[in-house]
Amino acid sequence: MQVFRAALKAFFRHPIYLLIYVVLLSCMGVFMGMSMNDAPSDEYLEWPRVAVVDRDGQELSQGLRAFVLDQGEAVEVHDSERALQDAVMQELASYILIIPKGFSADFARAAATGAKMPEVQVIISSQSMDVTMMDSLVDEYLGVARTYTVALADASQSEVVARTNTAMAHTANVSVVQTTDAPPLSNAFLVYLQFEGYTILLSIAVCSAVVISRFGREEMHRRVAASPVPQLSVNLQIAAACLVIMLACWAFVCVLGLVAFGGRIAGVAAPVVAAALAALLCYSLFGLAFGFLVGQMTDNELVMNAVSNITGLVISFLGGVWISLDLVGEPIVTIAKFTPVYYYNGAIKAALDPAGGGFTSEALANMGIVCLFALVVFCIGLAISGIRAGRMGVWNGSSTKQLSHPAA
Amino acid sequence: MWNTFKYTTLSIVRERSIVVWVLLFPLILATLFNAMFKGIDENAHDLDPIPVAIVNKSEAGADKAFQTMMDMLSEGDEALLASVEAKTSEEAQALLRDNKTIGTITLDENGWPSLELSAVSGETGVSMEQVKRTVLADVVDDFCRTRTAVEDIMENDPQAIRDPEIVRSFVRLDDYTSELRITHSQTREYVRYFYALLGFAALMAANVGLTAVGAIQPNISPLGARRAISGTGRARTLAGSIAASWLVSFLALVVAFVYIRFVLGVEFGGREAACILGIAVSALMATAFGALVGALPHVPASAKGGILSGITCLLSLFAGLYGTPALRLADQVARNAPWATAVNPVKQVSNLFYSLYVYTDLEPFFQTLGVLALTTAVFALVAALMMRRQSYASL
Repeated sequence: MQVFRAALKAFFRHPIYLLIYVVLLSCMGVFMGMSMNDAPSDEYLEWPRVAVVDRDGQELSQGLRAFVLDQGEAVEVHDSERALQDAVMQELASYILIIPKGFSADFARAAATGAKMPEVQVIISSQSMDVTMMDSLVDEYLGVARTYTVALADASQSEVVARTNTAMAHTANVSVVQTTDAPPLSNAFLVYLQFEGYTILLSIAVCSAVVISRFGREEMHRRVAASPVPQLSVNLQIAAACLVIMLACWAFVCVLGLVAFGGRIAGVAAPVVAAALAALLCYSLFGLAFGFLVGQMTDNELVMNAVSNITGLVISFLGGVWISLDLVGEPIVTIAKFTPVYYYNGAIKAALDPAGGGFTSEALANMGIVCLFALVVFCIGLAISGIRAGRMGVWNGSSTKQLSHPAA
Repeated sequence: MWNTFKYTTLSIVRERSIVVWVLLFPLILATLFNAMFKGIDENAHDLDPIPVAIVNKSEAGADKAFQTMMDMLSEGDEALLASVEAKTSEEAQALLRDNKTIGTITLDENGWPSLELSAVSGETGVSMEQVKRTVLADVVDDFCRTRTAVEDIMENDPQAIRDPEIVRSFVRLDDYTSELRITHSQTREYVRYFYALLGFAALMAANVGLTAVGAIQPNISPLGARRAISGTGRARTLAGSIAASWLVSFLALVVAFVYIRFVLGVEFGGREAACILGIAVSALMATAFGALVGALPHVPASAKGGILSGITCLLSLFAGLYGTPALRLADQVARNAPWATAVNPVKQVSNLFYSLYVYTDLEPFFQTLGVLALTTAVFALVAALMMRRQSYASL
């Protein structure tokens, strides 16, 4: 157990890694989870933050203004170019409606004569779907107002607006149904676990790579090779130490998640939560295998950091952890299927499926694939380790030859 | 000092980790962003038909208007809905449970629709499932609103309904909005990820300053110990090393910028010269930050790289680097705690480019540049104080 203890000692000599990668980065997942709300509105797109600049001030424009502000989160924006640019830059409002002066009068005139209808102007901060939906609501409101203006030729504008408002207020009864008896699952907890995929890969890979690389250094390798402990035993003890580190990282992330989101998953069946955490454990195994691979390739800690970070970011993006894959093109989805994060994501979604999660066949299949990824990466690491050991052996052999030559 | 500058530059560019962090990293991630976000932009308005079940409990003839609308929306190559008839609510529920539909529209005896949606399994950020649910709810709402207006006119002004123009206007889909451009470039959300990436890359370039400062500290590296007893003064050695760090960081960031701008075609508001100025200041800030981390006492040199990348990852979260939810979180933080944005160099660098993209004048750009210059001065001052106060092994 000497090597095992030495390996752990080597790791704990770098508490900064523990603090930054395990503690600090795990908190990123908590921030992300906390920023999600579990309200039923998550079923739909979040309506944009909206602002209305009413330069007209007539009944129709006021009616439209009230309707638009009622649909999204209302924000006040001043009517100046800089203020409007600030609103876009600072994301204060993603949909700004500008009703030009004289719009109401032009609208009534065009509706009555059949001329081209006047337009309101919009400033958008992104071409997103929520903005498009907001745009279609404005079109709907003005379409109904136009119909009333034509139909009620003698009516005042206030009557047109009042009846338009009544019609627009009539929406369908929409409800979200639970298809199972289980309580609804927390979106925040799912997002936390998705984000932790990145941080746990990074923390386990860097921490285990630090330990493995310590024993992979040439001088250390030679000293260990000269000791009476068999190489297999040395390797197994190093592996055991890395496994302990991995389990510690995984346990920390689990406890942090349960403490931070425990209230939100209260009432969720224990096997459902256990299955999600088991998926994280499988992904942690991949992190360990990746750390082993990186540790075989380099003993430069900056390179270890860089390689783990880049790989973590790339596969997290590709695996659909941060961007929903149904929004990107088919080629990206195909590439995503070659990353373990894709299956990790699939495993936690299946485990936390509101329609019956837990250790389902889908969740288990995804976990199995993640474990296979870990095995493949570990085998690559072993191959590199073998090549390195071989090279050292050749070098040692030639050195011995050189040294023994003068004596001969 | 020239020799210090020259050889520090050479030693930095020969360092593998620097090449990976500062040069390869932004190029790899920018290529990935390009593949993913441009796909989103192109697919933003492509919707597959939305699967929905219809349960018709209406009396004879009461569903005519609704069926007409459904026929219009379900026909053709660009059909919005893919509806299936369900005889009972239980049958519709089963379809919902098996994920064959995402919603059930039930018509009551008078032909008024209500909508039931399945609970969505969580997604990070916007998902196509959310889009479909929203569109479906809007379709049903739109029907209710139009029908209310029609019935209102029929009841209160029956003669008006005889006018074919009014009947036509119920199904007429006019576009009443036009986009007004007040910003310097047409707004595209995905550009913000590239700006956040440049912010991340800038702070990662602090690794250069970290390595260079480590190489002149006697208690950090044997090279530092040798240099400490050389004939060149400490201040000159430091100045040469920092100048070399800045140059390498600047050039690496310029390479990333040129790749993003000219190879990937990401817009920077057509102000490339201002971008280069911004990169120069960002590189200076990164160098000062690297020097600050490099000067931290009682921390092993190898662990300093970990500290730097850990801090950078955390700060990048609040600059919106990690996808849509992170961007929303960054916006929330910026709105509710502007001071958090001011003290986050990754966000400041990102804002530097975004202000060029959004504003028609350069004042906000120079304001952000000023904040970055101030941040640089603070980092440099603290680093200098820490380096000045360090004592090494002596006789």
